[in-house]
Amino acid sequence: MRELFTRLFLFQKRLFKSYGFIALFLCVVAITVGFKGLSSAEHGALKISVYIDDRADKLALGIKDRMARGKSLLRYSFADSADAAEGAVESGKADAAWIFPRNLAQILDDAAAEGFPGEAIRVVQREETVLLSASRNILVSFIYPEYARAVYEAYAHAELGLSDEDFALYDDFEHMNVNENLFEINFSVGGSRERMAEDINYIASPIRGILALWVLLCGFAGAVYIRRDESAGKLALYPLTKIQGIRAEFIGVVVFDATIIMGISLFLSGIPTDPAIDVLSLLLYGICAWLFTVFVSGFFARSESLVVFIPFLMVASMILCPVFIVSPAFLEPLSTLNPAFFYLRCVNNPAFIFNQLVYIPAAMLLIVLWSKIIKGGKI
Amino acid sequence: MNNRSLSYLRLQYKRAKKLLPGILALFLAFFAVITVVAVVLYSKRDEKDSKVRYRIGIMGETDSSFVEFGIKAVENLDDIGTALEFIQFADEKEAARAIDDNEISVYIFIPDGFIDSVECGRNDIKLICVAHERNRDSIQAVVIRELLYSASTFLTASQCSIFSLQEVMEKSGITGSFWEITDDINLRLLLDIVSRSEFLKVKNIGISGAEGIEEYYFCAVIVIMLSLFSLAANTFFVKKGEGLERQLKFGGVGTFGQVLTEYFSYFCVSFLCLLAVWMTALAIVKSGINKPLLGIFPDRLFSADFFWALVGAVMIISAFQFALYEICGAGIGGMMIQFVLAVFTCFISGTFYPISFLPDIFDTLGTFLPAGIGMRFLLYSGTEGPSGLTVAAFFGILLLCFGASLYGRNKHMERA
Amino acid sequence: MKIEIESVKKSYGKREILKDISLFANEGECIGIIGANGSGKSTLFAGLAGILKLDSGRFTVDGRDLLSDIPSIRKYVGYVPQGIPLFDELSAKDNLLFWYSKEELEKSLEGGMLSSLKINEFIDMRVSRLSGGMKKRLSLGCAVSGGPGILFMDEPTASLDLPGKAEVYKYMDDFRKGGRTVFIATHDETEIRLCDRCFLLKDGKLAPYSYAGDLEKLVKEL
Repeated sequence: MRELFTRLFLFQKRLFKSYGFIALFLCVVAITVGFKGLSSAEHGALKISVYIDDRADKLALGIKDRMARGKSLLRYSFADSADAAEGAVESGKADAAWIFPRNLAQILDDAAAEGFPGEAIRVVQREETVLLSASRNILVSFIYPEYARAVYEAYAHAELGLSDEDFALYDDFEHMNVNENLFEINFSVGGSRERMAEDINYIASPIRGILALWVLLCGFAGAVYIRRDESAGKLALYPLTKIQGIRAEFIGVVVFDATIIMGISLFLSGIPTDPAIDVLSLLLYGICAWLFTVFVSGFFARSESLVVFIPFLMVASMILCPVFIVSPAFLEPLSTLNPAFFYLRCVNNPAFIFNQLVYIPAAMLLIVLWSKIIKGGKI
Repeated sequence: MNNRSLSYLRLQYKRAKKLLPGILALFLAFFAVITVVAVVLYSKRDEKDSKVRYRIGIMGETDSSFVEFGIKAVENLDDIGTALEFIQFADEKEAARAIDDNEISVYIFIPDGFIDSVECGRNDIKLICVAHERNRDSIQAVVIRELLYSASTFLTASQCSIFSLQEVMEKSGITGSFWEITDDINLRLLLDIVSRSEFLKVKNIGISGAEGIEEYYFCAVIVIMLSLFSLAANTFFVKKGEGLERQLKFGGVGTFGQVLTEYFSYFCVSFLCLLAVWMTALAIVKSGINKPLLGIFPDRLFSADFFWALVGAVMIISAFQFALYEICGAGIGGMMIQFVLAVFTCFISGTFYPISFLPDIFDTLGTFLPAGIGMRFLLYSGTEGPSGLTVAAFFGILLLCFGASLYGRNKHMERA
Repeated sequence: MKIEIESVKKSYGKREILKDISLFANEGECIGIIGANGSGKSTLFAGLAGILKLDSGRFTVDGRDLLSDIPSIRKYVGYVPQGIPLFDELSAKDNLLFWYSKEELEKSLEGGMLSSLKINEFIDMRVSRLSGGMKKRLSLGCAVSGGPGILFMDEPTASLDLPGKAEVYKYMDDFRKGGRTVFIATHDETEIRLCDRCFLLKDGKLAPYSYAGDLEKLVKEL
């Protein structure tokens, strides 16, 4: 045991002897924090080029004001003319153009009075997509309150036959106070529900996944490094039966360091959710990542072969694990082989900690099988 | 380049010849896997309908005629573009299972008392829209939130309208047809909501002049593969720690010659691998195996302009990775920083999320990042071409990378 | 052939690696530069081989200052760095073809330097398959392609087994017999004993050292 800890300590010391190594770790922290900071800048899924003439009516100008002030899925830029707005779409600078008429309120009043919605706003887009169809809902929601008011006024005059003076006397639309938000969004978490956070930064959400894959990469890099040491005869003093264990120890040291750095990066960039779950799942992930890299690197006899395979493993992990995309259901059996999959799910659903706990002995068993039965104890 | 450097180039050529087949085979194998996954995903899309259908679960207080009518109206009359299909569930457990199995996108739970609270305008009980936890920090969650907010606006604005009319009717003493008029305005507003696209005049101008999403991601995948390629290939093209740099310098191949020669051979191997993938993609698309592919991948992607754009993208990305390798080395630290920088620069350059999703500062930064320059070359070739700033950045960053490689090589030569 | 090294200096920033190094050598001699790791042995040799730029100093051979005409150094000097500076994926022949033209290679393999190194035994083998000793012989073969009269060898037998070392020592002997001079940077006792004269490089300064077989004393000196 003492020998083991001495080796672990010396491996650690060896890594930290190089100031460059420490500097690189700090770079990772800096990049993460910097990226998180940059991702907080204004962003949106669609760019809408809006044209509202300065001489437009109060309603249109009010909408322009709300667009400029509000925070939304959409990012608005204000064009100088209708042609400029359309041009932005044609050139790809905007996803859609919304061109408002000057007399928007009048158009809505007429539509309300004549019994059908009127074409109030011109929308120019390149091709139909789900997001653009969603954006049109947002667009209509800007004008609908005014339209609803116009319908009410039209009914008051047409159906009730009220004169303008009488209407003015009875009208209290402005003070009609209803709670504007009828919906609450929750997330299904292992049979229960949790409320959606107010602020979602979907740009920063892959950071955790990227760092998780980076920890895996560090493990593989450690595997490459120790195999090169083996080739250089640095482990020549150790008996063959111990070599695999020593490889695993070195990989463990690297993965441990990387996991710590990952934790620091997440903490400093303000990403963690529930601290207790975060710390526990991260520690378990470190162990799972270590076992995964030990197991997979065991398939490669030479460090060169492992080096060539690493980028493909990384890209495959990006597809299989919920870093940028949620992989399709038919790939899920493959996804479960990668420890990052459970870790990233664990963050939102702590029940996956159980999966991590199962992963550990399962991976250990596979490693033992591979080395003892298949390879006959030799690598 | 002197004769010695040419000799070294010949040597690198021989090395590349030996190493290329293995790397190429892996590249093509990986491309094959990506293609299969992409084709399977793409074929699952509903190509018959122009609308995307979303299945939404619903449960709770669904026996109200108001809710039933609303569901029918949204399913059959809603014309804004997204088709919705509501599926009733007996309880939340069933709905949660359905969402876990991806049978539905979200489910809506109507708590008891919701209809009453809406009818009387209290609005103190909310509809609960439940999505899967894996979408928690995703753009999908943001879209859902915006849509629900819009839906709230339609409903609450309609409430204001109806309640105001009711108040006017009460104040003016019109009681005889109170409920008739109420129902009439209610129906009127409901029908106007479901036919709300009539407020808009929509014109689709087609995607010529700007890339479609498949085209965009074709370019993005190229940039990602290039950026990560160096993790595998760099060690083959630089020999460090063996005294080779010193001996080469002794032999007349100075730092400049060494860097240029090794970079050139690395560039050639990267480019050849990419070319093989590109030509394979061209062969698949043009073969007509999958006719829809012909439509979504325009000719521009298989043109001479795109070929030169590939050259530029490979040059700049491989120069950056090469410089990183020279500065950081082939050890653990080197691999770590290469991966992190590759992924983050690709992210900032809009290879994972479209650049339009990202803050403007990312677009600015992407102009000066190798992955971003590569993306711009690939996206704008055959159309307006990369901007002057992009081209200037290309040469600037290329020179910077060479400078860094030379610096790194010199430093290593001194320290060895 | 008279070899003189005069007042060689080299600093990295404020750190002085070599402080006014001077020595001379005669033809056929084997000069040992002894020093601990990091003492500057490799820097001295790399500087004298024209690889690193020295801050000042002269390196003359029969009165001709080689440091003022770096491109011509290869005609006078062979340099064998630490490690195995070869491409593993290529054959011995391919590695040699960087240093020799085809004709020169054939000639040398028949009766020149390369034949005395017995490179023919493994000329077509991949470097990755060669033993340590073979690799070192191949490195030597690459180093002496210019037919030099002076050979700088930086820890030539590090990580070699006994047969490998024996091959290197034999070559050194043969090299000297031709009236050529060998400089070796070493801290190996066997190599020190092979040298005609030794110098101790410590704290950037070079001083003559006479090794009397007392290893413990040598270690203390280092």
